[in-house]
Amino acid sequence: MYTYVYSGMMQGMYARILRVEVDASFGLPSFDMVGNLGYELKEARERVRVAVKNIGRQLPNLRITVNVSPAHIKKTGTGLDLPIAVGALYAAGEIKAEGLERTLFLGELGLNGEIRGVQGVLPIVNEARKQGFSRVVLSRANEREGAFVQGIEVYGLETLTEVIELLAGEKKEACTMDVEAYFQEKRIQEQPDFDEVQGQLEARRAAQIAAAGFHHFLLIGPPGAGKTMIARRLPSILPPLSAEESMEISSIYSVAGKLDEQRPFITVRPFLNPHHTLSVQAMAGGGRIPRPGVISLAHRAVLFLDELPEFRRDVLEVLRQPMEEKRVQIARSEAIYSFPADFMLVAAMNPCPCGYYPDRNRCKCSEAEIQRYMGKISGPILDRIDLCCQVSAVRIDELKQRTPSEGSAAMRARVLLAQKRQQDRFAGTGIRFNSQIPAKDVQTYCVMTKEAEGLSGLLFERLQLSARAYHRLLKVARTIADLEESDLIQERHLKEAACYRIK
Amino acid sequence: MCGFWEKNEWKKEALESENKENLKDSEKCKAAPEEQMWALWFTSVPGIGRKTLYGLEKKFGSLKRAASATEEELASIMKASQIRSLREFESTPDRLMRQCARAGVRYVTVHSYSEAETELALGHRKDAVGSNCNGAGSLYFPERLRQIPDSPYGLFVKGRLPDPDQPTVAIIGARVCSGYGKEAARLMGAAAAAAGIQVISGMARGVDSISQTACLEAGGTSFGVLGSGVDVCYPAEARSLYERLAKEGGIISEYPLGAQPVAGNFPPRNRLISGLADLVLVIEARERSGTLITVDMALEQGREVAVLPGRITDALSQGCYGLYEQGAYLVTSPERMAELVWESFTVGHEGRHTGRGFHTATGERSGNNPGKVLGFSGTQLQVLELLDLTPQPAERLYQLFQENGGKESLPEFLAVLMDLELAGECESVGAMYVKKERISRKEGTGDIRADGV
Repeated sequence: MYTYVYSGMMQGMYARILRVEVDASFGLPSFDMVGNLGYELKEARERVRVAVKNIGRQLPNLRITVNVSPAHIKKTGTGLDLPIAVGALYAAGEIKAEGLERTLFLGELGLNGEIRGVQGVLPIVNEARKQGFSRVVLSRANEREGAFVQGIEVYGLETLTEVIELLAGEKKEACTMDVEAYFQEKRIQEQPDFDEVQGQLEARRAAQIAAAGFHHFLLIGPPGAGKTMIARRLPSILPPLSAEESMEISSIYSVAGKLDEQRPFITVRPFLNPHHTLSVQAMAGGGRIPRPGVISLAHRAVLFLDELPEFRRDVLEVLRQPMEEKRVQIARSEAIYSFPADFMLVAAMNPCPCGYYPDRNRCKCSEAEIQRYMGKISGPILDRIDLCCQVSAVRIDELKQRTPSEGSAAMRARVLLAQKRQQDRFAGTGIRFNSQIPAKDVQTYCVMTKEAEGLSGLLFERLQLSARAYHRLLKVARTIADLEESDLIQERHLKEAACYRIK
Repeated sequence: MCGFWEKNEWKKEALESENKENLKDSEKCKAAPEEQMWALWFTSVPGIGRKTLYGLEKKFGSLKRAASATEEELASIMKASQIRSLREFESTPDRLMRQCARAGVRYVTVHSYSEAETELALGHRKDAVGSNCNGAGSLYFPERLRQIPDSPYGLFVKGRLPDPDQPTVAIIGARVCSGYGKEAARLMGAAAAAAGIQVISGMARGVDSISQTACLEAGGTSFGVLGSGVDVCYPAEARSLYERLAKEGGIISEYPLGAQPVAGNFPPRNRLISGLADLVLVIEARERSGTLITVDMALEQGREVAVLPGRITDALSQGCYGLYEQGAYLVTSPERMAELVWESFTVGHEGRHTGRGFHTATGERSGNNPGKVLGFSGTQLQVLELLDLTPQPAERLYQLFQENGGKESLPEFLAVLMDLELAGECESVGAMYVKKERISRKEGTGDIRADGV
């Protein structure tokens, strides 16, 4: 008898629904599987056979053939174990089942018949809902993750036996999650707060501007000045995640296998600070079957690169395309994988190898050494950083100061306001933030007062700006104006923005 | 003219006896160009330096004779390794002369007393005196260098030698210098040019090259003394200075063409820097600095030493104040520097360290009071006063500003800083701000906008 059941797999960030066809007919008893299967999938045959035996069932001595369609796509992952088992049992007439065509199965089988979790559940379940499936059967481990998708029944079951019972019509409890409540509960989390940063007025101001316009941001300062401290607090002044963003980010984490029962969903903006020894593949994503890299895990969030010059040059170079296109493409012979990578780059570095330049009492680095140190960061990367700010060592009287600094909440309120203005301005254009204004639209969006027009020309000449640097200056000025709720860019906004340029 | 003669009787005698010998031997006098060629040949042999040359000359009477000596005869003067490299040395004096000519380099030995003689040495061959050799300026061996202990045997010169009739200052200091040191070097270099003083230095990073560049910029003459061959530009980043010096001044070395700048060459090089100068000015030196080697040489040679005061808290000031303690002059303004150099030049070296009396003797400083600058608002002036020649982060400046009662918010403060930067009153280094010291301040800078776009 011929039958088919549905399952799914991830291809990069693209969830694909697969049809597992099973035929059981008379002939020499065998169990064959076809459909361009990866090696882990070929092993499914043994897992299915033994699991079925160990739950006290038996596959009759038939000639069983499994095909996974569409057959031209390379199949990977172990999520097809469960659908193959169900399909084989059903085709062989071992079990009864209802509503197979509306059900999606996803899970790995243990030899004892237990169902285990797989990666990419969230986007697959989401895709299943879009395609009109009414229920999903998966492992208990994945059930909370799957249940975030509303409008589809999610059954998290522990064993193959339970699946058979469910298919036979037995009542099982579908997992439901009150997403809204979960979201409300979890998105308020203990985060490092800006009120713990003493002094550093300029860096705080720059951080706020960076957050408001989603500008890439560079902190330069001696060791121990608080660069990392400030960067860590940036997520706390970014607006809270919207449900849509949350789904987007969680999908990436799901594909990367970074969601589990404890954290089935991403509710706060991630903060990624990879160590400088990381490889190109870890940064951009890679592997035989490409997985998202750090830049994708920092999608819509902060990617913090501490000690920027220590990163390998080729690792930094891979940031160029994603910073421009907000996504990274990884080509493999079978397909081109694309992962979103709309991150805010926050970088920190010392001004020279010893870290104390230009304090000549402590710094003995020669000009050439300093040049070489700065030269480690390629121009094109620096060229994409909008804001640069010097952080100086905190003095003792500032540390002892009892008056609390401004907290993240107040800063975030202003950031939210500025972002709201940007949303209104860019409605329908696909642009989200000032930092993303394309060069051709700078004139349209960065409208200046007459005096500011004059000043901008002067700045361009006196500071010897490149065209790109000039546009960056205007975009930062636009954000500063937004923070002040000013429709036109005024002189003071331009001047302040010029102070944050990379010199 | 030089008191040093009296102090160094032995040297005087030695020179005089040499002179007598030279004069007596008329044949040798005519052969001087040839001698010069052989000196060039010997000095180009790796491992043979001035001491060997003097030794050979003393033993054989002339270098030509030394060149035809047997190895046994040479062995009393030279080490085995030197004889070996002499044996392996393949070039000929002729070829070396051509090589010099091609590089636009002239070689002058301690025996070239008159121009005629020297021109005879190289001038016979029209091509020998390269076209980019600046004809002006003397090519006699500098009298000053004959007087110093451990005088070089010969000098390679690209461009020309310092004019002995002009005062000369050596400006030396830390390679890694502060913003203040840079400004001071610039100021002094330019002031020297204005006062008709030649600037000698080592073309090194930091103070050396900055002062030399400033001197050339201001239309003065400057000379670079190298620890490598004159055709080797070291440090490489001083390339543009090197090119300019070759045209507008001179590049001098006692090492043959192509000699690499090995560490051991620099202390002897330093003795030439101080030896050629009337006064050695030290701008920024740490307590244990290489600059102090030059100062030691200068004192040994009887040259005047002056130091530039720095901030007492800077490590880079410690070397200078150490020298001040030992009796060096304190240079408190560019005018003072020029005055000291001219004095040393005219007085010679008799009046060495007539004391600190000089300090009160003169003294009108050129006023550079920022408060006098016109056209700035109150806040701008307030910020301008906070700026310093040491780079400071905006953050720190803002703190000072607040401590001094500034009421403006940080963004407003930053805008003021940008005003000053646009007006050319300050400069940003990295993300820090320094006051821009200007050698001659334009009066009535006026409205920032109006001020020359």
